[in-house]
Amino acid sequence: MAETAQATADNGAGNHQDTNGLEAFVYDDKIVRQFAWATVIWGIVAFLVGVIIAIQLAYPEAGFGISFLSFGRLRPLHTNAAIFAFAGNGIFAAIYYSTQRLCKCRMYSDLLSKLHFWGWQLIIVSAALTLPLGITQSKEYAELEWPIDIAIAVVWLVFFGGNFLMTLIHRRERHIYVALWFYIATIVTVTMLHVFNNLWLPAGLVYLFQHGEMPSAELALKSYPIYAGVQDALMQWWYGHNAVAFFLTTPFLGLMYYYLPKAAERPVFSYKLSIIHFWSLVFIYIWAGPHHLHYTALPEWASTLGMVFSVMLWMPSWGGMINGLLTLRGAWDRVASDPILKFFVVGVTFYGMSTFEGPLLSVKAVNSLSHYTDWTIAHVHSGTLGWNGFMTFGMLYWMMPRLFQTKLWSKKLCAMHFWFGTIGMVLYILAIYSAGITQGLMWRAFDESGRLTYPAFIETVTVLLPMYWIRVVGGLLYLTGALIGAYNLFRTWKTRPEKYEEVVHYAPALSKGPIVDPKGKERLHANTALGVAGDKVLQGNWHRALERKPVKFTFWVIVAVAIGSLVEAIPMFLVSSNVPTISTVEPYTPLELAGRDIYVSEGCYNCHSQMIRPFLWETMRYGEYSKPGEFVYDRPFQWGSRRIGPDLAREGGLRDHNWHYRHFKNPKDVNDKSIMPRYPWLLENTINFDEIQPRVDSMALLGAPYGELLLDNNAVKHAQEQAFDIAYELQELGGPSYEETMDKKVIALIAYLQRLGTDIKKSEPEAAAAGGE
Amino acid sequence: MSMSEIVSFLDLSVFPSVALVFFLFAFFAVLVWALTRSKQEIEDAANIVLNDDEVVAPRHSIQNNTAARSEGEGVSHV
Repeated sequence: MAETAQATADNGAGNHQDTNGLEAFVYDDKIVRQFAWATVIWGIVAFLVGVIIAIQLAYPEAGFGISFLSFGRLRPLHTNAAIFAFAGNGIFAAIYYSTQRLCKCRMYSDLLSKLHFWGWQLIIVSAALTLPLGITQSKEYAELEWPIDIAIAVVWLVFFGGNFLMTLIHRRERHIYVALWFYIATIVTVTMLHVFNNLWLPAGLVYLFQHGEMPSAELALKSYPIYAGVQDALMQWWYGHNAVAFFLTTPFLGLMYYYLPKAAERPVFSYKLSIIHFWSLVFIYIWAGPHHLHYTALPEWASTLGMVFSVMLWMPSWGGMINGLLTLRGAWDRVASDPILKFFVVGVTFYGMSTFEGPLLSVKAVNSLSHYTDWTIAHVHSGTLGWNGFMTFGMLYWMMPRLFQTKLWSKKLCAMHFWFGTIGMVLYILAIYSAGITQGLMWRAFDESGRLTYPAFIETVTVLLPMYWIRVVGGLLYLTGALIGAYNLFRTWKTRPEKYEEVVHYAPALSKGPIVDPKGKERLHANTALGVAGDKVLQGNWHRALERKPVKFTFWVIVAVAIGSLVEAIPMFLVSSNVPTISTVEPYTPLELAGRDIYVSEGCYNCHSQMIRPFLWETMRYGEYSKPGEFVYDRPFQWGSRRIGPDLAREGGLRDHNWHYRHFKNPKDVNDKSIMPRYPWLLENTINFDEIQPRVDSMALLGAPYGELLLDNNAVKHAQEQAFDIAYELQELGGPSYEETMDKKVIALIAYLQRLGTDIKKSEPEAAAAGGE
Repeated sequence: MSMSEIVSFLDLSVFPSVALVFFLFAFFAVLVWALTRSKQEIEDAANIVLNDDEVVAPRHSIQNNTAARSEGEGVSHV
């Protein structure tokens, strides 16, 4: 055992001066232990919720007709828990451990570390409370409402980013190792993505400032994005894709470049390749977002740009994957017996598979088949369970015994976890790949007479149910593996020493001023002025200097990621031809707006798209393809990303009010094969009409021309009149008495659904008349 | 003339084309630099990850944690 000592002269930052000019310091491993345990606990929560919603898809009654257990509300909880709670805490644990050691110094501020840890856990708990209550922005992976968004920005940038950057500045190792580059890219890019995708107008706050009162707690948390329709979609998928890139990829690559060499006990295969990997990846990845919107109302130039850069991503991604696997050269014999290395090998292999499949799915022809199907879900899970999950588990198994200053309790249980996880993943993704491809092919199948082979959408759903059950089994196996892992780590923790020893490390402080290569200096003196400049470039001093200056390095990373973002966003926002307006498209009525907010709150976008692509098989099934100008009042956009149920873009007028009423009450009443959950609370809960005027006022502030509806509480009166009309029609159609339903949420939702996609069917005079009502 | 009008007059392909040229220039610069770095420099950088846990002790108690690493690697007693 190395010489150890109790840190008795700790100055608070773990540093003190030794008489020989070396500085003594102690790493803050407590914060790493806290993040590591949070990873384990939240991982189990995320997997458990995943299994619950997987069961609900195969057996909808598993929601029990309870609002906070419905699929639309739990699915965002699952994705947020997996990404931000499990993977998030995992990368924080990995970063806090490796950064201190790579910088040879303690984290800059223990206080910031603690604020980061507890702030992040508080955010997770807030998400776990608000999402099941239907408090959501409905933007995938950015669902959390505005107060939590602000908390995320502060915790991420100030507590985490500030602490990390200051640690780099105060480091004792001159060279900034490549893993730290990936961490820098993560911090700056996630900040940029989070801030610009979450620019909103809080409806409750606006009303509070205008009228000095807040109608309800629900409204206090409600916000509308400043972007609408096509622009909102572009921003959301710029965010959504790059959340995968810079939250689930770059930090894990940093993790790979640190923990894989550690576990294999050999340096990375090619450090040169890691440098090229880094710069290529951070520059290219940011462009790829629009490939999530192929054949939608997004302008074609943007989606083509997304596709081209996605295909280019193959090279850096595979460069990184090959670099990771070849790091094990000469150590493959150990992979057979070391389950930790197994986790890393399978993790990196899944990275290779996912980053091959991602560009493949971005190719328009492939995307026309895969989009809105379960294929995307299989792709996402091969990345999350395989790459993120297994890299995290490998990291935890390697790191936690060291943090507990003991040995791993059971290697056998570790191996068992590995096999449960691997078999679970394979079952999951194979079943869901099959489901996705089956769905896509059935949607586009024509018979000999040129008609859709499966015109009833439900036929393309029920055929998937066996695969959904296999997914449940796969998910259960993965969850079981995680539980075994948690037990093993718990037993490892139980064998820790009574008091942790704090190893005192010594290292010289970082010398001031640049280190000039003497050989290079001689050459420089011998050259002319032009030659000197050229020689500097050829020697690479520009990059060498960059590697040693974290602030400048961070600046150039920002430049690299900002270019792709600006090139896509500026034309989209400033070139008016991107979103041609349609004269008959008007703002939603106050009641429809309230209904739309219920649609958002219930997470209907998790199963239903509102985007008809310009394909014959889609227009025959759903109607006229969607136009950019139809969405100018959609805040947030509701295009969705999958179709567990049919598209709703042209739902308006297709079915009568009573059909919708019965459908929400119990979908099996109108279709006995339906897998949609029941929504009994929509039939019982009342509309808060006091909230309607503030909602309309906020939309007006964002540009919706509401005219006289902004005066004298007219929006409320208009909403009550429309609610009465719909409730009365419902009664006439054989539904319950209008007195029973006219103030219920289901009426607002029916109003919204009956409006969907109808504007472009109106003639201009009809639209003008409707607007003047 | 507004910013929107100015940008609308420009051909949209200008933006990605300029960015692509910038990227290619930056990519080749990084490529050339990475490939021309000395072997020693690259090895030193790559080995940071393996040396980062060493206890660089003061002269009066020179020790490193190589032994600690090998001792600490052990796992499993079940």
